[in-house]
Amino acid sequence: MSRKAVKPLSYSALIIFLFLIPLFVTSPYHLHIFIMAGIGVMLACSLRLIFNSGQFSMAHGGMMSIGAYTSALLVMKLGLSTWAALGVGAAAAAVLALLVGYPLVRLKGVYFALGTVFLEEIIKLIAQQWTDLTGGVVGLTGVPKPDPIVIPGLLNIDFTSKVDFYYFALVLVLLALLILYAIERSRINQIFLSIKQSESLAESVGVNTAKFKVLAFTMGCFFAGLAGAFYSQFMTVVMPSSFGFVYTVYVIVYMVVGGEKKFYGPIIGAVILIFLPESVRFLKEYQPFVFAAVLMLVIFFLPEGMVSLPQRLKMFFRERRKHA
Amino acid sequence: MLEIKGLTKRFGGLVAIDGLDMTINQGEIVGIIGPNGAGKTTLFNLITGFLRPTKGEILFEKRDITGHKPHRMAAQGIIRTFQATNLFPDFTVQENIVAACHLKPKVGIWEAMLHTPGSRKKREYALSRAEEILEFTGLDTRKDQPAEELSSGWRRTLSVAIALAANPRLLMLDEPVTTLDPERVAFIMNLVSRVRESGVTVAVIEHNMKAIMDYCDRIVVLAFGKKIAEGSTEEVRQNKDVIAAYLGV
Amino acid sequence: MDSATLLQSIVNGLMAGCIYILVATGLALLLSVMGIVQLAHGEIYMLGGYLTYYFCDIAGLHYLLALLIAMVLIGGLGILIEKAFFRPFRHGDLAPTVILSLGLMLLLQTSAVVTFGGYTKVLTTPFPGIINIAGVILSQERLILILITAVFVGGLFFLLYKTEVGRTMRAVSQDMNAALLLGISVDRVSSFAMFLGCALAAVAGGLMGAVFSLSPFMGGFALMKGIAVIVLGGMGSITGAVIGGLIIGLIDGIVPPLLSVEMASTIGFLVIILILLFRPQGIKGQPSR
Repeated sequence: MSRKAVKPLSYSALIIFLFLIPLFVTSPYHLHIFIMAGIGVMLACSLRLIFNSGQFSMAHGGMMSIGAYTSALLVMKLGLSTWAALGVGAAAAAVLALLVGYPLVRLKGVYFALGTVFLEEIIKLIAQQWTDLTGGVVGLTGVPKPDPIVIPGLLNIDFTSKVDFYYFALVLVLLALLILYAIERSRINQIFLSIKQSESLAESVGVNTAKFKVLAFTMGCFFAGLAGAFYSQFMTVVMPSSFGFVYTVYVIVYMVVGGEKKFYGPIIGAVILIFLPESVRFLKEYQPFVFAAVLMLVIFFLPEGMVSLPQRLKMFFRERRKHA
Repeated sequence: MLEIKGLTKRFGGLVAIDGLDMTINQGEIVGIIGPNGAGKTTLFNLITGFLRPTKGEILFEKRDITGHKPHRMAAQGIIRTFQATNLFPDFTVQENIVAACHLKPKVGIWEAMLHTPGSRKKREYALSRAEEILEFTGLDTRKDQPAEELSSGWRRTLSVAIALAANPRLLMLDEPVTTLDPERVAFIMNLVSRVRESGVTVAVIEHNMKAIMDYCDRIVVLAFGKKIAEGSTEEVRQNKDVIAAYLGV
Repeated sequence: MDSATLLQSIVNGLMAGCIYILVATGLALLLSVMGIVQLAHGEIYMLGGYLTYYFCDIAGLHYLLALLIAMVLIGGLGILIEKAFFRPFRHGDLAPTVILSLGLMLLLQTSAVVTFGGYTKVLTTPFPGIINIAGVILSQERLILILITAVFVGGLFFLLYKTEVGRTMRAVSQDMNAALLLGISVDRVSSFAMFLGCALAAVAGGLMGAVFSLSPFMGGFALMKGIAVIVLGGMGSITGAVIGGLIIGLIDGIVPPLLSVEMASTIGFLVIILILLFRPQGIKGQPSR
């Protein structure tokens, strides 16, 4: 088999494997975890897109809220189809990002980060206060599940079982990753990376850095909104506290622990850090300790994330062999 | 080509540039010298949009470009290098130059994301432009090296190459050869001459007097934010004010 | 609203403002001198409160003494944290400090829950008694809270602007590399800044515990208010933090009796947005271009 064929073949195998998971994993609880991992992957990878342009955004949780509320309200109050609402929810987040983007990107470094935290808080507050629209602190309950997919004689998916949601999430995440990967390999990403490495140099060769930073931010927030819209249809409840500051930080953690430099880094990070707490569930209130410990260990010993692990191990053993 | 009228820049109480009038003529290589703190880099920053003037006008080919943002200045053809070497450290040499080809060819956002055949052609064009520049500047043997691994001499050369990739009509070099050894100085200044021969106007800030004397058509001397002399190398060398300004430092 | 209620609200607002100022100035100090985002700052505040409670209600010391001891201990904890965790990441990449401080936040919060239990506590009031001014009844402890804050903030300003130490801190906050070149020991300055920042937060926590209550989760609220204040006041500006804290505090004091508690937060944010629209760098911040 030629070397070139190995990669696409192994990816195809992986995808087929993912489609077959519900055959071995039957407990709804476990499927739920898989779905959450999928959402985590979509969030972490889209956040990475923003980080590629050198911007430290902490607005992802807030954008999820926008997507969730917009989608839920459109279905509940205007009777829009859930599929359309999904798209509009994502678009709403993107539009907001575009609107606040231009003033926001004028802030440098830490200040941009704090500005986005702030944005998130405002979104949460509005969700809490505008009780008529958003149901206030209690939020929206009874958000409709996705509209059934009916092909007479063939399919009747009514989303009553977790398996239906699993496939919905899987398809959604794969599509999102496809788009994100297309962006990753395009000239646009190179422009983002050039801005990240030296904004002044990029400007001096004609890059409109403000425009591209807003573009990165908008695109990243689109997927956050999409994740939020999916979430609203999956959990059928949307509350202001559903996606807060802490959630955003978790997404950043997935990305950093997995590794920011490679496209698949956040995927690994999200998967590990979502399945990990589950495996230490028995620790109950001591659970966050393990999470915190993993974080600190990675920051200190594997600053480039898990993706650098094979490389680091190789170097480590090579050093040992030298001195042996 | 470039006219500066009454340019002033104040930082709080400090006056960095004080009512400066200056011109840069098409096709020349003009050297800009002066003691430290004279405002040379500030002048470049003002012309290229990295700083906004407090007062005054900057005209490029009779068009007012005062206060435009840097990327718009670049689009006009005014390209500058930086005093502290400014590169894309994680990119290879080749990637640095391709990144700098942003203005030529111009790729639209949608066509890039959809990977249209048009965008692919543009990418090939960018790669061939980069190849030309790599050969022109002698960097072709190092094209796959990460930029941060280059020696300081080659880093400076890369900054010039990056500026060239941005398709300049007026190339503004900020201390391109300061502290480099004579061989490297000659190499880079030779590049600059050849660039001028291809139709690009050049302005150079330098402290290396030999480089200035050997390669510039005309010299402008700044001190304390003002122009204190200008003319040919001979005229400037014998100018009393210039000597006083340097000795006084 | 009659004048008595108005005066009461203003005092309440000042009081809230004091807490916010103490938290925000600490955060701003860490941000400007060390260039780090300390997400666990709220937890430091929380620990300060609990430690004060321990020394005061359990060990039986006088409240002010307990507060001081807690302040010094938490300040010392801050120095340890800085040396152990944050030192390599000063003024650098943000991601590591965010992750670290998140990890720290989780650690501290979980420790608190495990040690103290997940419910709220109240400190016995250290200054019972009321003062009657112009027919308005104000609790003595609230006034003393304001006084204590004024002392600390005044002391901070004195330190920053009238002492050598303060000058070096300001130098480092403006340009760490230049300061290094000048021979300033950035390590020592960072440790000191961390001590100060954490100490201020601890005092805020102790004051909060005395006048209101304590809970292992009170840190989140403090962090958010602190961030809002420094965004308003101009990130990294201590003066801005004071002004911003006063503004937000007064809003939080005056609006609830008029409208509602939720509206207070909303109006607070609206004010911030408005000011940012005209002055994106905050009241006392540096412009970016």
